[in-house]
Amino acid sequence: MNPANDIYLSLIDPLKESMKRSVYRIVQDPDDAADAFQDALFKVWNYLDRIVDHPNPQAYILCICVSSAHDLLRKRIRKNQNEVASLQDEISSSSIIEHACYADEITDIVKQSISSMPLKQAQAVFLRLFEQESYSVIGSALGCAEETARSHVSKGLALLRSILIDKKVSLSEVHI
Amino acid sequence: MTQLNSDEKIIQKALENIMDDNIPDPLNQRMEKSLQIFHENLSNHPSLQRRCNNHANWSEWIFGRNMAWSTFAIAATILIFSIMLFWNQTPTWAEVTRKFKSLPFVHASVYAKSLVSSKALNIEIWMGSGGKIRLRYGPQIVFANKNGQHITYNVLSRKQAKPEKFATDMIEILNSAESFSLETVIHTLTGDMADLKEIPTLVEGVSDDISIFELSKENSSKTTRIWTLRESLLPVHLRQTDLKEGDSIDVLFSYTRQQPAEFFDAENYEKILKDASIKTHDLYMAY
Repeated sequence: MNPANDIYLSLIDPLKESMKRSVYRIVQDPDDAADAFQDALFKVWNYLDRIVDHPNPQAYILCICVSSAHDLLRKRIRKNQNEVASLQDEISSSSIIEHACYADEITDIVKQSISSMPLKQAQAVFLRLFEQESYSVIGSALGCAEETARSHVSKGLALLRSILIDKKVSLSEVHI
Repeated sequence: MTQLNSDEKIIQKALENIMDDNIPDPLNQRMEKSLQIFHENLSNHPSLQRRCNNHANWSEWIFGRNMAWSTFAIAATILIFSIMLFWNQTPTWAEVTRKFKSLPFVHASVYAKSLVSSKALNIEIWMGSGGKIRLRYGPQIVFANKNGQHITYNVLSRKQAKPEKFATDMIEILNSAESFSLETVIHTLTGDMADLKEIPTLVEGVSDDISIFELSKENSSKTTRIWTLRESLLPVHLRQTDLKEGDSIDVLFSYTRQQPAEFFDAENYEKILKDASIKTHDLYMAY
């Protein structure tokens, strides 16, 4: 047995699809996702000791992935803020492309709202919604109490809900 | 994993519709490449490098001598159980080899080294009443019973895992330990017991409280030495060394406590693994 191999096969390999998806889902751009993923792996390398000793190492690794994606999304949105604004102007002035761009617009707005969330809130929301982790696991991954984790998720969901309603995304049409 | 409530499900579904998570193939390939590089370099990680080097030596030792993991497992396990022969026996080698007597419990730490100067690979084994077994090897904890059923957990991932083959081999041997004789032990270790000679020795007066037994084979560089407490006849240490190759196996026995039934309870352990408040390093001995 090789300890390095053990750690990779126990922790990283079973989690890699979730790691990839968690990054791509947030940044929604292949190049940015590749960069964020690289950054996440770099952080995993740096925090390896902490990860191995963590009570929920896999949730912790996913937190790192969300963190990398969130950081990159913030930088990207800040950098492109003016371009986004002008794009929105163009969209509103063209009724022909309005419908086609609607989905992209929603995506951009959601991305902006995620980037505006405090990091821990974003991590909590993604761990809860897409990994369906319990609040105790989320708390442990974030280094906070279960109740605090619950509060992070609740605030994050409230923000997303208000944005979705504001953008007239019909939440009632969603099949559950 | 816990189920989402209806409110969470609504937002989740909305986000799933909005935020695509189907990773394009070219991106997937780039990510896989990053993972591959990460994996390849992981053995160079500063905190793992020392252990990796030890394991490299270990593998070289095992495979360089054409000795499979399972063979090592058999050897180490039989060594452990051969020691039990001393339990409540008179300190003569002939009597020791005559029959095998089970202990109510035992904890043994096995250390194997490829070279005198190299770090040892460690395996820990506990046996409790009713033939219950718990074994730790690396991040794996294996629970087994006399019926041959076993379940393995990985402490790092906190999930069930496929056991290492050698661990299952070891469990099988532990389950059928009564069938072993000391001759079998020596045969397994040396590959030949035709020239085997038992040489009971009360060596060198280091302590009158300790009896030392030595087994050696003519024309062989291997020796097996066993230290027992003279009065209780408890074995405390076994060492097999190969003076020529430099490798060795040490087995240390402790009798400080009999582990409770919960210690061997896999279901109980699975619950503990799910308790996020327990740190990873505390899981190895948890019950």
